Amino acid sequence: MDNMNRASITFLLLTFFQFSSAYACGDYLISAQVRAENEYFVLIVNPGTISEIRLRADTDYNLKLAAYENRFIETKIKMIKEMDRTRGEIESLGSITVLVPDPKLVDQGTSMKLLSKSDCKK
Amino acid sequence: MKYPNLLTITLLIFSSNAFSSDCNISFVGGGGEPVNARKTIFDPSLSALGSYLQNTKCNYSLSFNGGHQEADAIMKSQFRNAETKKPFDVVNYNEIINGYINKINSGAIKDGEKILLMIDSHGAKPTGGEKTHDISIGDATAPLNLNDLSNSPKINLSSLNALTNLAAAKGIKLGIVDFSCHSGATLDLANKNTCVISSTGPNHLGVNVFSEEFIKNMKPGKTLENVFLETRRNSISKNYDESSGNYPNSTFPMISTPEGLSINRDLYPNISPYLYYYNPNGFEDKLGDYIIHASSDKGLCMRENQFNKLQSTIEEFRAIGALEMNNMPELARIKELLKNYKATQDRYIKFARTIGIQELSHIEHFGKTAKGDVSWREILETNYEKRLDDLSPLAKSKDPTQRAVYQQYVDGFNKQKEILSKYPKLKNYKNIFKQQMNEMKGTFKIANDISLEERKLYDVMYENLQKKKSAKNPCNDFVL
Repeated sequence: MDNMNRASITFLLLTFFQFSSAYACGDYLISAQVRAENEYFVLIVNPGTISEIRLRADTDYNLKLAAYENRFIETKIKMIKEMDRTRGEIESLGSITVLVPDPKLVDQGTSMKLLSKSDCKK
Repeated sequence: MKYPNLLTITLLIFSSNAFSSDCNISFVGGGGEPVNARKTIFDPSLSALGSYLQNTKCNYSLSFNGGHQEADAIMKSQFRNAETKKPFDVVNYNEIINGYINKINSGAIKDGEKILLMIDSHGAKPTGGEKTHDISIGDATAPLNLNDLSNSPKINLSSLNALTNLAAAKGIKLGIVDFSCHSGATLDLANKNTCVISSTGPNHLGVNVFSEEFIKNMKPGKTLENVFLETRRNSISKNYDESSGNYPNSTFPMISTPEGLSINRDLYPNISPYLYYYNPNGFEDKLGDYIIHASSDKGLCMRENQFNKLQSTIEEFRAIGALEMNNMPELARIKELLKNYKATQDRYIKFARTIGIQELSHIEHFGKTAKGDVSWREILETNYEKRLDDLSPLAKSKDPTQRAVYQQYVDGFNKQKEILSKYPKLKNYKNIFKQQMNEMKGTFKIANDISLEERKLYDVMYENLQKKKSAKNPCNDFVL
């Protein structure tokens, strides 16, 4: 019973942190998979996991990102709008480096690292 | 009662010795190695440092990548008196750097005392806008790209700025020795109290022989400058058989003394292309990228200027040296090697230009802002037919924004067709170029030979400059 309770609390805490930890606006260094989604391109961190983060790029970046469709890339991005839980919008992105994903890792080697925080635009 | 007293006195003497030491050494690194590997390529340097520390009274600490059995065994057996001995991660790295900052601020490390920070990890090529460079921290998640360290967690060494500034303000003698690839970028941290030494230049990979020999050459009484010059002169790898996977000596070790900076400025940018060699492992190749870059009109012009400057530098030095120096080396050999290697590279640049590779970096502007800027390489690597097929319903959408998205791809596709009609070989340029570059395998030996001659040239250039500028600097003032 104790173990059950502990597991439930851990699960609840993880769930709470997962959905409550809003990503700040600002500049990020991101390693992500590029995927086409209707008329947009999205950069996906932790693809296929419960912690998947989907960041949609401005359509002006379509022609650039189309060259990297389904590949894993590293780039710097700027987000100026508050994220809706695990979904966000990319305002600008920097130069792109192609990565080799690691299928052995749950997140396939993707990551999202805050470089500098800024105020969100309303 | 007698023995406890003796023990107490011994302990007190031991402790006072440990705390009164005026030198502090830290060794950080081991990052970017494959997860689960038994050992790291940095282990021999770690072991050499362990032997060195047994004969010094310096305080020392270690943040070295954990989880590799052989590395862990060396840490355990050879660093028994370490102040800290932890895996190489951001927390432990910061703990060491901030620990020094706190000790300087509290007066525990005083004016005139020494800190030697040695960094031995994989290092990335510096990117635009960043001073210094990134090094790997933690394990690599996939085969490591030695040029940009993608697939490995990283930290930027500009994180050492607070320590270097404090060292300058408080009169601490700080030595930073960066053994990683592309470590020449770290010379940016040098100041009036900080000596920086690197195992190679900012554009080149490094080799382990430098770090191992540097540590072996460290002896009490020598200055960092002495150790650097001795190591640069003599740390020559004999294992330059391409098939063995050993790197040759085509590196360019650097030091932040006035003499070193002067040579870096006059010699390094111009000799850089001739220390590159072709490596079929794309993650380690420098020559392929260089050939592509030098194939552009601008790159070609820069290349010719650099080669002429390089020849002038050698000629000028020969003229000065002939008058002032007794041990003038034979410079004809390096000139001949450079001339021949340039001719070889020129042939491939000419070939690359026949395919149209010089145009790959050309930028097309598709939108009203820079967001729509796309290189020819990106245009050529896009499957427009699939995108247009997937988005075909948007072509007739009532929403003008959706129609505009469809039109983007139509424009991109038209541009792709236009490029390929002009340069048809660009369609398969990667394979064509790779096949051609395979014939460049022999450049491994040529770059190595040039590097060996460059070592002799550097040595006498440095000696010649020392005659003119013999003032104290943080590298000759740092005595081990």
